[in-house]
Amino acid sequence: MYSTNGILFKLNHIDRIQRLRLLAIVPVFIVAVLNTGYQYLVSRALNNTTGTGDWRSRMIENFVGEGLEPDIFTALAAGLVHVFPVLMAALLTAGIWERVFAAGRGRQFDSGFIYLAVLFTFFMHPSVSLFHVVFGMSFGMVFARGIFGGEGRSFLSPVLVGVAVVQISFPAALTDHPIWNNIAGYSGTTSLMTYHQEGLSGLTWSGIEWWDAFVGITPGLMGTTSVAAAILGGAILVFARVASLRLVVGHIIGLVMASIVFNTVTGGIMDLPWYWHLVLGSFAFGVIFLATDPSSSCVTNSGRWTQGIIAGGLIVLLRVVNPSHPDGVIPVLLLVSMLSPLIDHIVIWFNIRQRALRHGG
Amino acid sequence: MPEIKNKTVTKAALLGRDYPGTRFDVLVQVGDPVLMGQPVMRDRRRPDILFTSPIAGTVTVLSRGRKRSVVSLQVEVGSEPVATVLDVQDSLDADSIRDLMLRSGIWTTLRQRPFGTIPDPHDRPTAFLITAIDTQPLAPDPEQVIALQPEAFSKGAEMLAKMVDVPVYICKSPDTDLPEVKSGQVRIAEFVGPHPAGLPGVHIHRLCPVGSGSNSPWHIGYQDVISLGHLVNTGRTAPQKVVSIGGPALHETKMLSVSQGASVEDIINEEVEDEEIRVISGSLLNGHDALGDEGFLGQRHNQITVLPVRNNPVSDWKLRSFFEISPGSHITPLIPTTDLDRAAPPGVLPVPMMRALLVGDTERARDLGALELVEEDVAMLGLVCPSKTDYGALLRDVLSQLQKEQSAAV
Repeated sequence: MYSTNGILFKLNHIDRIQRLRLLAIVPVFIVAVLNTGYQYLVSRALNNTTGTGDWRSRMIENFVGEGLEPDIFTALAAGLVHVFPVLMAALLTAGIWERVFAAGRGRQFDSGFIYLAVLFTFFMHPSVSLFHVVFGMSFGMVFARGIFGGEGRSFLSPVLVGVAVVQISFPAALTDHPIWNNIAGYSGTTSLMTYHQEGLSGLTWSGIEWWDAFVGITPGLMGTTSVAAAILGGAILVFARVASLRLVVGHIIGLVMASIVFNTVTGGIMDLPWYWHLVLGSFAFGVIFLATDPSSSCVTNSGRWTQGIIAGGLIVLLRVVNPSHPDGVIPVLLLVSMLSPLIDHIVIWFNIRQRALRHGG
Repeated sequence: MPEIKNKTVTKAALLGRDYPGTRFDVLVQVGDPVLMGQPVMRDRRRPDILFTSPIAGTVTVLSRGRKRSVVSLQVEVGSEPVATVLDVQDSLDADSIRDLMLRSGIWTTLRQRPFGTIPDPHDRPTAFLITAIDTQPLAPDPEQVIALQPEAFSKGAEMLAKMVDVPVYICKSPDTDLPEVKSGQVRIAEFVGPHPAGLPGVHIHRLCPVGSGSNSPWHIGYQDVISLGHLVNTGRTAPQKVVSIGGPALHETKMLSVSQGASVEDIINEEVEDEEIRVISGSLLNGHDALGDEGFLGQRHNQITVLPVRNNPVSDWKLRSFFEISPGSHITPLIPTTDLDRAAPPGVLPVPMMRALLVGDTERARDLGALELVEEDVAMLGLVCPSKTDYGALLRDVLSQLQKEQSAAV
């Protein structure tokens, strides 16, 4: 809209940012639905668990019959049965809180919550209890968004806070699920545990090749397994200059450096080479979609490098020395997000000092 | 080379907003006849600085704004153009050039950093910059404009070099051929790239950084240099300047020759067919709306931009109207996307600066380099930031505060 003075254009409308974000999440969404369905079929066949009483299994059986053929349509149906209810619960919860805060503040309703609900869904276990979804999403929307005044005003990502709160509150939930026994509850991945116990042969034995992990046909949280889809979405965000490439590259550098350092120490998971670290767990997804959230990351370029390198290194550290967090991405991103104002503060301090030195006071 | 059309205007004005921080003493009254080049206003604090009438005619409107500041002083053209002719000595020294510039009103085209105000006649600059590059969209090409009066440009530049005893940089694009300037003090500085490569703020940052106020470079536009050369040659300032007129509401960009401070109505008359338009003095990036009492060509503007008025602004996302249960204010925040880094003035951290401006933290803004900046340097930030804040206005508030503190300290 042309305004009457000073500012002439609405070149970078907030809607543009929100539309780009939704576009970027589309590839991940497709892989998420198909892979979740596929993993369901694989696990079900492996564990021979017909009629476990799980409502999702009953729903799939209602749709496609008892004998599940492992074809793409069954996988799609099974995937939708898992993703859709969680997504709806997250959307409704987030939408209601957004509405409540919009009404309370006399502000317009902001559609940014849709992106948050989708991201939150992707961080959920396929057989998550819908109560956990509502609980986590509510916590994130209220304490990391609503009370700060909405989009761009909070210092933490609501998704990150919501997922972390679910992980912390229900650490043991779903770890021994009859079907999904290859996923370590909410923290997402048993691949790293498998490696820890049995080395690279353990991964090969479970049928996980590097390329499988890259494309995303591995068991894990619903949407975070595919590195390829995350890169595709990340390319959109970086190209449109919503996300910072420096931040993404910084994370990769940090992760590579830290894993090389740990590789010099032999024993267990410390041996895991960097290229496996990159594709396992929710590293790629978390970095591209959560760490680059402009409102809760560093705002200066040097700060972005620093934040990325610290976070990448911490993720490896947490993965290899702390078996209770086999993935480590969520707690690290949360921690570093909280650290980012401090990093910026230091960068600004240096900038001011440099300017003073250059001009002699 | 495009044809340059001579355009006669019926009205011209001096605009208060071209001279931020200046309080005026008005020397004429409404109804008074004035000559072209006759002083009509004076700087209240520095009475040597005179503002002269751009055309000959009658003072018709003196419009005032907040705290009785002058918004515009308008002159309607008279029957015959009569100009004050100043005596110009054959051999000019620094003081007489200074005096000539003050008396002719050309002094008011000088700007200094920090603050972007008219420099004090008693001060000495630490560097002097002639801006002969314009990277704003649809701006006229300085080379073509200077090629119309090359001698005047050379003369003007030589006079400026004689007036100040510091290096005089002529900032230009590498493709621009300029007439030779005979002076040992003059240096050529070339700048390449898209906007903001043509802004004096960028040149100053590279050539003579202001820093925390220890340096105070002055700068002037190329058309004003031509006008000074004209003044020295003939005893009167150049009666006209070249402006381009373009924008989405026009099929092509045209070049016009009009008087200083010409009424935009007169300028766009016969050029634009569209009825529903919005006229901007200056470029899209950092121009001003030319409306009502401010509907005149700005002093430092070399172009007029004409936009069509669209009634449906930006197509909003359809889903939003579905959710729009209660209309409420939509206050969008500052979202620190990486776009901002490209729009930022050189050497300035964009987001910390914008936050300092938004909360009015004068001290922090100064530390981050606000003294190097004026409105035009931060105009791009407002375009890129989703909050659509006018950072230029916020910066001006900060600068006036800093200026006040500085003069109190002295």
